[in-house]
Amino acid sequence: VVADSEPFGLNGLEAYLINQEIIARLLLGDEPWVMCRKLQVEARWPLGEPGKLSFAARVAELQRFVSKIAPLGLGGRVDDLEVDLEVGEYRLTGRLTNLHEHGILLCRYGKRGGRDLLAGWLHYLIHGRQTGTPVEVVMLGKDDEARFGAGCGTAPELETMVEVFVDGCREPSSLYIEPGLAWLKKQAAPEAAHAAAVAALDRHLEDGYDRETALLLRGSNTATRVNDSFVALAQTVLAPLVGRVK
Amino acid sequence: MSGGTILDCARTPLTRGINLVEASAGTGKTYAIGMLVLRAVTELGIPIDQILVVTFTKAATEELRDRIRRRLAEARDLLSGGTSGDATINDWLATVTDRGAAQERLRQALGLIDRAGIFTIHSFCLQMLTEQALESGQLFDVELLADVGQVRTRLVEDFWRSRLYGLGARICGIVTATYPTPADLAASVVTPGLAHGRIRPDRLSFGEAAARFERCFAHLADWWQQSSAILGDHLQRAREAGLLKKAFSEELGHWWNSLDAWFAGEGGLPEHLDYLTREGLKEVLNGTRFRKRTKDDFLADFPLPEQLALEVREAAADILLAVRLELAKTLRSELQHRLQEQGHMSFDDLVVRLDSALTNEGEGLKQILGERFAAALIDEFQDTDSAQWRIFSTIFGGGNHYLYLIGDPKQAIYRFRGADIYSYFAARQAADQQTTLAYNYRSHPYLVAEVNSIFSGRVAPFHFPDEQLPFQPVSPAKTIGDGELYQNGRQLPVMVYCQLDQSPKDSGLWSSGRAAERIREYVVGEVCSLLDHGNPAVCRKEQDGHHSSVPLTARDIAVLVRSNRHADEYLHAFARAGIPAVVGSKKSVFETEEAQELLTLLSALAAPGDMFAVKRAMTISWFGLSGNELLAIWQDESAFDDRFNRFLSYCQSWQEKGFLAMMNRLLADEDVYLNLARTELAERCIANVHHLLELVQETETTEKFGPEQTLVWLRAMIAGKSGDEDRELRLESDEQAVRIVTMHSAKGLQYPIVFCPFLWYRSDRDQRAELVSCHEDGGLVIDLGSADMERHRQQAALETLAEDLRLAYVALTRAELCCYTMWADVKAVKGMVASSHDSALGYLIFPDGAGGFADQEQKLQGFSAHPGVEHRLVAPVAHASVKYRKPQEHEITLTSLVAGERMLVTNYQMSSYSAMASLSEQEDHGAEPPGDTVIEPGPEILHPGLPAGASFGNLIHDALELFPFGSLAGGAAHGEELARLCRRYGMAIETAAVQALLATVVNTPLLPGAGGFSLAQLDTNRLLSEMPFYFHMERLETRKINDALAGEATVTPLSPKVMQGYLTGFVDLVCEHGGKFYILDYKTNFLGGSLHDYRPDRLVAAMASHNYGLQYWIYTLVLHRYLANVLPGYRYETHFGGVFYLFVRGMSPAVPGSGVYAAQPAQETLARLDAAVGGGA
Repeated sequence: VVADSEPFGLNGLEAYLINQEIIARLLLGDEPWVMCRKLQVEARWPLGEPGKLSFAARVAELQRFVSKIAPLGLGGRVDDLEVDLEVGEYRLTGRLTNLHEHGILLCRYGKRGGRDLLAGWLHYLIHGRQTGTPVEVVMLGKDDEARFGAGCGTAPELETMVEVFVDGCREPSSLYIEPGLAWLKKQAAPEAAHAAAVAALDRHLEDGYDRETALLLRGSNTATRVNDSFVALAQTVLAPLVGRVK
Repeated sequence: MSGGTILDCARTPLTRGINLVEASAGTGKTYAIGMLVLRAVTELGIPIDQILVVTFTKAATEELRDRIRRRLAEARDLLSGGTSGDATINDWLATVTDRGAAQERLRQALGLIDRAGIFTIHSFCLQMLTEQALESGQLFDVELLADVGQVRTRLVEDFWRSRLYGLGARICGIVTATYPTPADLAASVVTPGLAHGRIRPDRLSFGEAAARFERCFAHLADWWQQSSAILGDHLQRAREAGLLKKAFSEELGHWWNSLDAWFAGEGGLPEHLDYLTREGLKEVLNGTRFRKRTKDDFLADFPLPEQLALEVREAAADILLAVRLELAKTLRSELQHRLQEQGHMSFDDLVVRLDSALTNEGEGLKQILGERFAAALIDEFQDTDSAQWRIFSTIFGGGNHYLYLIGDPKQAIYRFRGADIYSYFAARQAADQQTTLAYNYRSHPYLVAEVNSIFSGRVAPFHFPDEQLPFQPVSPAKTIGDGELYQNGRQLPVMVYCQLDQSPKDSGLWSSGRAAERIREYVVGEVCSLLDHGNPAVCRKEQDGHHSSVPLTARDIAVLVRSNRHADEYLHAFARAGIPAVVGSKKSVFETEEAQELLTLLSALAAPGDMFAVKRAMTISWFGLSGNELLAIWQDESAFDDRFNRFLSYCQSWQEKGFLAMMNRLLADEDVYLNLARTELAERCIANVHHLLELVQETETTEKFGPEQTLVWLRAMIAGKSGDEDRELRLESDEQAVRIVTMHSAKGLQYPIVFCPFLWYRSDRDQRAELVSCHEDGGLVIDLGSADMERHRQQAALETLAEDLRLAYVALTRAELCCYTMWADVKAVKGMVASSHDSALGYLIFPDGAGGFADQEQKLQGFSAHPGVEHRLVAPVAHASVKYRKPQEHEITLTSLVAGERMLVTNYQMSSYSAMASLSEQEDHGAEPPGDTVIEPGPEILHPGLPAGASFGNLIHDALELFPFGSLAGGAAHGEELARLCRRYGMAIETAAVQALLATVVNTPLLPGAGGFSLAQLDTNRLLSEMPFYFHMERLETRKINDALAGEATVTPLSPKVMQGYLTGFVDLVCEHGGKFYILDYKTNFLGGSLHDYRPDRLVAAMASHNYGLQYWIYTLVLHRYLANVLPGYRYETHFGGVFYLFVRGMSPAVPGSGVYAAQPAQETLARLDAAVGGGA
């Protein structure tokens, strides 16, 4: 249900979705301006000269983002990779996407976060295991990029990652990504590391993007979640990634 | 003007003219007002309805009315003999010379107490404007809007459309780059006082600013065309030589392209135009490469436009300023106009309109209003503004009235909502008499002394010259025996200065956030200790040599915070420690998590087929489902289907039975309260849920919203800011709980123990504001960006400090027995938080500068030499988390009660006529009487095609009540008001048709033949619309009524029933004409499309069918009994004219008496009915 008045601004989610639509058009080389009128008619974009200006500014901004992709040297898009692997006691099947001629591109017009790092690592491991050759994985965010590639090794191994995932399905996992990264940054001073992790977890719960975790931890003392199990997972899973990402 | 003498409420002579009474905190202001009213009644003989008392809030008017009534009643009783325990009353009694006369005046005053003029400022203005609508040039009927935010938003959006949509890209882009939305633009100009303050700069036309910008741009564009290539080469070479800073080096290409695009016609203003000047470029040169050679030398041969670029930037700034100025002026001129157009008025408008009516309408209105009241007492006068002061001084300040202005400028803390202390100063200048109240009746004597000491400890304690706002110490009225705190046998201090020890970091200075957190931990720990059930603090009192001790409870403690956010932090901290606490704040219930959850739920209920919405709704805390439980339900098809179907049925219930009925079912079926009761702040949460449901229901009903419109409304409420008092958070519980109150809300309240944990805090955000309001030359100035902006900013900062000092005074004077004052050495963060040295508390207790930690400690330690004062050092780290030890709850044993003899079924009740009539047949507007199936030939009724139904009936009733008959008869246009009524009742009809019907009704003579009168001929002063009545029924058996009215053709017998209690109802119209009184009732029943369908015999049948006959007999009895009571020499046959039932559809002015059932009830029958009903005198 929408108000019957015209929009003068966009909320975060709507803006993100429209950005993705524009990026998809730009990547295909299509003219994005036809979208503007359509979005205005759908009451999803501001009207008048302010609407035109903000759309032009948005396109220019996204064009800059898209223009970063070609110099990455990953070549054109290629078919997805079918995956069927024995990983320890488990069998991993599915499809690996975002493959290009010379690597894998994971791009998101937003601040690059710990989740992107984890996704990149899984792409890197799975592709390597399936094809037997290391692949260059580029994680492109709004402000920067990160890479996994040859020389990154394989630890934590795919087996470890799957174990962590399966454990998390059995009981709530203590692998909180952003808090874990915050802890690692300050691990030399345990008290400060603990405080930083708790603060990051509180922020994560408050920002409203992860309703499930917020629901899971509702009413609990977040300080108790930054415990030995949390530290062990941060060291096992996240620390090697932070050390290897380029 | 005489100097400030002490006001003796019992004896100081009451004088005409302007009397200013300064009442410091706790000096009994409300008591004094009660005494002044008492003396105005008894000494001056002013009737109570000619005494005006104005105060600030609705709650305060209720309290004042009650206090005044009790004071008058007590005085009346004492005049018969005896003395009071109250010395002031006894003093007053001694001054009364003629006790009989005084008693009689009090008796009359008490009889009329409901007519006492006790108002809020807004209700006073409203009453005056509507009573004198013609004289004040106002509409008769306006709807008050507590929150004009929505109207203002529409106005700003219209301004945005009209001003920006047609602009060229370049100029439009300048505006939208800084203010991307109308809301952002509005935020840059909207401030209290915008309606009347002087807006600066005085004049800057948008057209001129735009033209200047275009000229400057053209000059710069010329330069670009001629010289940019050379500059580009220079910059390129500098980059290649590594002479540019890294960031600029990387951005150079992009920056250059943005300039190129801009000169080619792209909108907005490119960033860093200052790089086109030498000074700007120097900032982005790589400093490490310029040691020997200076930057100036390097840039010497760069071709740069210099001044041209700066002029463009200045012209762009002028465009922003011009558009804001234009919006500010539009809001000032158009907001009122738009509200008026829509028949709305804001609370501020009430004051502004009465003020301007008094200014513009000359002496006439002033005289009329002045004659209404002989004495006016204005409470909380420090919260006045210039318009309010002009109103009171114009009406009552001429010297003929007793005008008393009672307030305390030290407690003027509502600047944010337009209060203006300078208006108080103006009033003081004009005052003929100034008095003060000398004694503090609130606090422990040592606490009074300590607060005196704090504010006497420096010159200009309120940051005003002492002659303008001095601090006059007050004397304690209480003694030590009136109450002291003890714990462990030790007497507790009355004032505790808690100093936060040095921070382990930053050279001992604290950040404001960490200091607040540590202090919060301390406060929670201290409250735990005070309430410890094993050893609670007790309040020991001594009276007549007897000692009594009462343990302290949670509700005796208040924590005074600065903002709603702070309140929430304390609430959670207390909850974690297990201490019950409640928040009293002005926060809107729409800002809470519960509002968000309700929106999530209603979004799912309004779209029941949307599986995602249903799943989302299931996650809210109302359903109490854990993540695992949710997953289990979602994975189990039948379990999810069950939930899904329940949502469907709630949706259906919403559509069929309305919002509240649906919600009540949902709350019960889903165990919502049980689930919420498990949460940490259960009471808060449930109170918010209740409150929200009420507000949604109210809106849905009054606005006739469907589910989707309700959702849109709820979303708008959550997104916007609400200024409506009804939407403020309610206290969730009156149980034993610590009160967390914002300092602004605490004014007028008092608590045994008060914690003041934020007096060291001062915001520094004003320093960044693009909008500044302050006072200059005695008036309010709103500066949007004039040349004097910096000076005004400094002045505004000083005014903020002055208000913080007044807020500190309010906080420090709330405690009865003990006050905790917290101090921390907090560092400044520019544009965010000021140093605590510059805070109100820093200003007061360190007049010579706070110095270092040791100096502060020494100073605070020094205070502990005062009696009852203690200094404590609060450790920088809490040693352990605290937990409140609750008293053991006694197990309750449930026992069954023995059934008593009392009957649970009773006949005693409040009955309406409708309830009585339902014993015969339901009244049904618009239904035809039974048997009336033959279409009667004859002339068509004058107004065919009008709808049937109760809504139409209500519409006609309201219209005949609202509009004067004369104006309806004369054909005056009421289209707009009628259209509003039609909307209210959901009627889609032409207002012209309704107006024509109304004209017919008022123009048709009510009796056949000559000599009858029409409604239009009635004297408006002799009419009483919707006369309510109650009368006592001793024991009414319907059988007796049937007997009494047997043989009456229009009466249908009632089924047997016994009724006791009161009968109540409303008579549509009672009027007097030619010395006789008449009862009139309007009926919109549709009896047929021909005028013959409304012949007398048809009307009799219709009357009988709906038992209107019984109705008019009851009404006749009501009026008969009433007239017998109030009309001297009343005789039924002389004074009672008869009853008229107007079947409005059948009326025609050309046929006198058409559509009218007229009767003169027989006196004997009436006497029989009187006896049957019983309960009369």
